[in-house]
Amino acid sequence: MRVLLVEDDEPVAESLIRGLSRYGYDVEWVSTAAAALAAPPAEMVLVDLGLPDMDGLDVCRELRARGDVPIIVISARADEVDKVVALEIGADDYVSKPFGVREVIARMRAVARRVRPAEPEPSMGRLAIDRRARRVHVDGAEIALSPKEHDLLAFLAEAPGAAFTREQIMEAVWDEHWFGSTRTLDVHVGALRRKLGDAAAIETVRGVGFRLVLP
Amino acid sequence: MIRQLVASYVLLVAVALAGFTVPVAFTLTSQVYGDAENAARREAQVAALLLAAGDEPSRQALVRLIDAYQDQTSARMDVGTTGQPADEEFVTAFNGREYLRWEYSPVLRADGLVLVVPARNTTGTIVGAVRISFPSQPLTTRLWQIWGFRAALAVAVLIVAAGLGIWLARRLTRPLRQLNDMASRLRDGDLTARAAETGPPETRTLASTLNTATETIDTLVGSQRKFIGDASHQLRTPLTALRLSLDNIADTVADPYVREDVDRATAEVVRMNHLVNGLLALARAESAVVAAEPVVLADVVADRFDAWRAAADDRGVTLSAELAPDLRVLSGHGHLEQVLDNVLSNALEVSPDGGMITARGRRQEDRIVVEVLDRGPGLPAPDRLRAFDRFWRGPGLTGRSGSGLGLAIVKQLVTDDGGTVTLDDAPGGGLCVRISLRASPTSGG
Repeated sequence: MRVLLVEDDEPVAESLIRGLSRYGYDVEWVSTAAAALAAPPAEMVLVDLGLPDMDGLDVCRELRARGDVPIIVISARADEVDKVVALEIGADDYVSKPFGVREVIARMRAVARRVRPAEPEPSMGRLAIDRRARRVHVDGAEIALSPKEHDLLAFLAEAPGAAFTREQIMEAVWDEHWFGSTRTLDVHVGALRRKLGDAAAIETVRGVGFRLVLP
Repeated sequence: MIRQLVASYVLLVAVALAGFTVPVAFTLTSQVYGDAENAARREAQVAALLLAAGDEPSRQALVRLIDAYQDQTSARMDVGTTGQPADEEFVTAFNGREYLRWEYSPVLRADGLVLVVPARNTTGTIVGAVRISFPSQPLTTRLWQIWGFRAALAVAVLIVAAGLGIWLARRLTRPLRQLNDMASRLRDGDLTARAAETGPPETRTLASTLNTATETIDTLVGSQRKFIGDASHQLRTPLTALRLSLDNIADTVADPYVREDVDRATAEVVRMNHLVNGLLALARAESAVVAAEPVVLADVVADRFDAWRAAADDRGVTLSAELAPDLRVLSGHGHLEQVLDNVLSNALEVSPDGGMITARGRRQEDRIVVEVLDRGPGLPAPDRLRAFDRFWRGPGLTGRSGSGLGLAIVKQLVTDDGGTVTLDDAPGGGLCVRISLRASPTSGG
């Protein structure tokens, strides 16, 4: 998949390109808004909001006006206002810095799935997740999950084995990342562990968050 | 100030009125009584002349005079002749002296003027005396009427003075009220508020000083906000690069020991990010100029309890609220929520499994006191003050992973809202976080 990365900070861009390339993404990097608007069309765009020549939000608006390419905003601004505005003017998702490679990939996959729902679900061993029908099967038998439990599992399953921080999970699944709410996450993880049994394990990564491990 | 100005105006007018009226009172009273005495004396002298003449026509004239006098006035006139037994006052007159006294008159059976004038014949011998008893009742009534009218007039003048005073005082204090309006807008977070530099020179100077001060605050708050924005960007960007590099390392090595080291390093990045978030939240709270608005305490507590209930249930901790439904506190937008989040987070960390966290609220004069009590180990007294310091971390569970900024943020937000926060022993062990906030004027309880 060809990805256009609009990011003015070189170390961040370099590391992200290296990481995404390992997962088979073909990344074209530009560091200014002007270059982003001049770049050839891509299949997915990652836009930082703090660009030297123009606000990233204007890039989003311009790209959205041109077509329906999936746009993910990556930003160090944690203000709820920025997030709401970005989604309002056409971004498909919003990832707050700092983030890990696999966290970005999980969000990219989720967005790609929303845009092109026809894509087949990857095999997950004994676990089968049908995101469109919002159903989860273990060894062929359906298990009953609450809506949030389903969203949580679906998100973790976007990148099995990757450690997700609590903040990133909260942002992706609960659409918020306030201080107190990560406790709610523990409770949902607990419920998911009981329901999944030994078909898949949700490991706690101390000080970071959680990862989904398939046997 | 208006009240004091008006009071001073009215007081001045009252003093002036009293100054003009009281001396007049004494002269007026003595004049009225003097007039009555003179009139009575004239009548008595005429009667005395008739009595002294002693012939028949004079006697008849005297009788007619007495009849006419008693008909026309409420006074009594009678005569006495020497050589006959008579009252004490007649005796004084027979001795050649005029008797004049305001006293109880047995003839009138009331208080009045008793005047006895001797009657002398042509040779100068005293042949008798004429007594006039004049009641004082009509005079008193007349004096009361005069003073009543004057008092009513004085009250009317004072009312007019008060009215004029209010108008004048309002005029004088208008620039002050305008300054106050501007200052309240400033307090409510409107940094664009400026006072009109009009009115007398004193208030003009004050307005200009206030405007300059506001300008300075505006600049300071603006640069602080800009710093927060920049810092948030500048600190998070290298953290992102670090995190991405760690992920890349983790993806390229299979050695579980290295992966564990990477996880540890990632945890430090996450911790660093929490610290940045905490510092930014604190800086934002410090530079925030937010208008305090009435917030229904019970609603916010119920909302925060809902958010924490899942985590509390997991540990078997009961959340209980003891609040009157109509307590309203004055708090900036989102402040109370964040304060409760930080306090509940601490309380839940230290609560034993199956414990209880209680939120209580009560009204205390114009304050509302919110208490959050846990059943944890509590804090020793020396630590309670230090607990609000930045980066102070408790000895218990919260100390290890916390940023040490939670209570510092609580204190900052509560102080911003004009409140106070203290730590105390909870009954039965545990810690009591006591937050006192201003009550909204519309609050019940």
